[in-house]
Amino acid sequence: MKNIKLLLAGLILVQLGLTSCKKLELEKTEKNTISDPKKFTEIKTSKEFTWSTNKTIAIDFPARANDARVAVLKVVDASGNVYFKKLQKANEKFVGSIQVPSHMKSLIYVYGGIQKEFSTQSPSLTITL
Amino acid sequence: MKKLLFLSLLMLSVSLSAFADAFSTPSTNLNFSNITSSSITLNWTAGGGQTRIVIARKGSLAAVTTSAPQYNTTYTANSNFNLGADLASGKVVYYGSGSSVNVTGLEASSAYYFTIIEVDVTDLILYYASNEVDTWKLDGNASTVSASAAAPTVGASSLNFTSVTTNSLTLNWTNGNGTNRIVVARKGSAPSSNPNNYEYYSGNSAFGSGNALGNGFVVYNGTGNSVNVTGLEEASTYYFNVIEYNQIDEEIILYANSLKTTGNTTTSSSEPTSGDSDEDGVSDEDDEYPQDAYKAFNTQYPAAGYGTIMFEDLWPGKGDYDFNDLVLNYRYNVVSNAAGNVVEVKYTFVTRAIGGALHNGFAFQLDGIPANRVHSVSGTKTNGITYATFNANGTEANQTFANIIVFKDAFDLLPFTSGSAFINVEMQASNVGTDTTEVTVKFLENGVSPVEEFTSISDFTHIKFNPYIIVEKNRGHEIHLANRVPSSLMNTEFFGKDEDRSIPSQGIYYRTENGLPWALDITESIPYATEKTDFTEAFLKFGAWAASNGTAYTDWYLDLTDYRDSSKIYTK
Repeated sequence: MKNIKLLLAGLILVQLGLTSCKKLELEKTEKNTISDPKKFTEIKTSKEFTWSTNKTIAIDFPARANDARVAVLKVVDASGNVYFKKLQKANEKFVGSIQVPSHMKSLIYVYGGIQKEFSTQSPSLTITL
Repeated sequence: MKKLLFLSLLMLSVSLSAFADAFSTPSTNLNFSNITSSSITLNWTAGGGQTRIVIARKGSLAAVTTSAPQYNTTYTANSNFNLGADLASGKVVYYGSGSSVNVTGLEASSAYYFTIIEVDVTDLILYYASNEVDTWKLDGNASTVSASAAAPTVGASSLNFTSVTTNSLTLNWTNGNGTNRIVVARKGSAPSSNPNNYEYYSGNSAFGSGNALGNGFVVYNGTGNSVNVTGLEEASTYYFNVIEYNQIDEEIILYANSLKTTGNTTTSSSEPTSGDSDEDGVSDEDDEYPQDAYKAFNTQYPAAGYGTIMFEDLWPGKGDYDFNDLVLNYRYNVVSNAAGNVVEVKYTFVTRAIGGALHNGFAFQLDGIPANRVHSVSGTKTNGITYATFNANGTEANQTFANIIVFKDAFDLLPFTSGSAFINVEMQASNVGTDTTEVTVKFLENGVSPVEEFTSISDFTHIKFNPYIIVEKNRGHEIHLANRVPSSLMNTEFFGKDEDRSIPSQGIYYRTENGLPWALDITESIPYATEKTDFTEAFLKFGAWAASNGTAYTDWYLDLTDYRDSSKIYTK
């Protein structure tokens, strides 16, 4: 009888242990999985989320003293589509921003004969010549 | 007999004289290059011998005056100092007809002395000049560097140009780990060669005044990180190499040629590259309106194609989330002038679908832009409108910011088809086509603003575009994108009703408790869901994108594999 009691107590402990492991495993899975609601009403977002499919990139063109160049400053993609365009004196500062599709990875800025690719992962761009 | 003896002596004399002539010109111009801790390259101008032997000795000259190479004796030469034959307390490191040898196997930080002796071979007999003539050798010495002496291991970086004018520019860079660096400049193409170790090049920032190198000139040699180069030609491209080096001592200079950083730039032109017909300061080549001084550039949003706006029109109540109650494509072209001000904006709206029964108008507000800054509005479809009044410039009256009503009722634009209460959202019903409305909002007329205020293109971003619908001809009933401000004519009593959880004091508008919107603005033209189809069932990555607050599947709107369920999308 004593042995049966001990056996039952052991089984209960093993069961508790397994349940605990299962819970931990479940929590771990939830944390590592992207939430993927299948109905619109299942979606929950933060107050800050704007539902925008754009991202904003701030552009800084620092003034270059004694630089006489005047040229068109352009931001284009690899296909030549223009995201921004203006006449820009090299000795004048310009600050602005552009909106680009959120899936876009890189763009190119052009100033006179200078052409440089930049990553759109950063929210800001400083133009260097 | 006497005659025979005389002739023999005469021939011997002539023969010896010939040897003397050959050996009387020893090698010259001995110099050393590529000196490392274990090797030295010798270069010389060959003398008059058919061949020559080079003897190397550590610490002092080989003792050739007392132990000269022996007549008709062959000495095994090896450029590895340790493997050559012993001779005159030195080693034979070279035998041949050439004019250079790279001697290896040397000890670091040690002086080595070299002696070159001309050799002739006649009838397989070796004649060493040392045995035959008085001026018979060339001596020289050089020292190996310490084992720790080496070229820099980090090159200069971040080369950039500032203050570029028609005839000068400033070159800036980040230094590597050399003790010094030189900058080589060349017009038209990159410098064609690198500096040689052990050679010092004088730099001068006036282009053409420094030492010549690689078909260009050294414009800088020093320890700094910038140089203002002058004396350049206008509208010309100059190429630059910045090369770090270590100055070990007066003679030992080791360049990190493999780590050089390069760049090029073009000096300004004093004349436009092409004509400027309208004289607005933008060359015809760059000017998209070369004959119009008041316009210069087009910038379109989206940069290619159209964007899509979709509405649910039951706000503040929740709808069916098919986002097809009103569907429009849109794009706009911002025309700007040479001064960077917005001249006019040409909007194109394509009404595609009406998946609701309410009679909705469509409008947009230019956030932050006063209505009186607009010169005129044209192209709207508002004839017979009863729920709005307009200013003389075509913007809506009694608004703080410019509001443009594009059309008063979507049902005016697309005809009903039999068998359907909606338009272009049910696959079983006919497609009635689309309607295009083109609206032009002018800010400047002949360069003149109505209020002496200009709208800079730096301010005119997509954030300014605030589209909305006016529900069922009720002017105070506006539905905007999430968190976009309503117009001045909005009836604020709607906020907080039903499912809406707007908090105007916090800038929160048009959101449910869970943050769900009543309108979507997609940066591309996308299809829309069929009637009563939950949007997340048509666009399969949309839910994950939204639930991640826009961090996952940022490309959810693209037509990629497994991104859409075509059976849930209107495809007519």
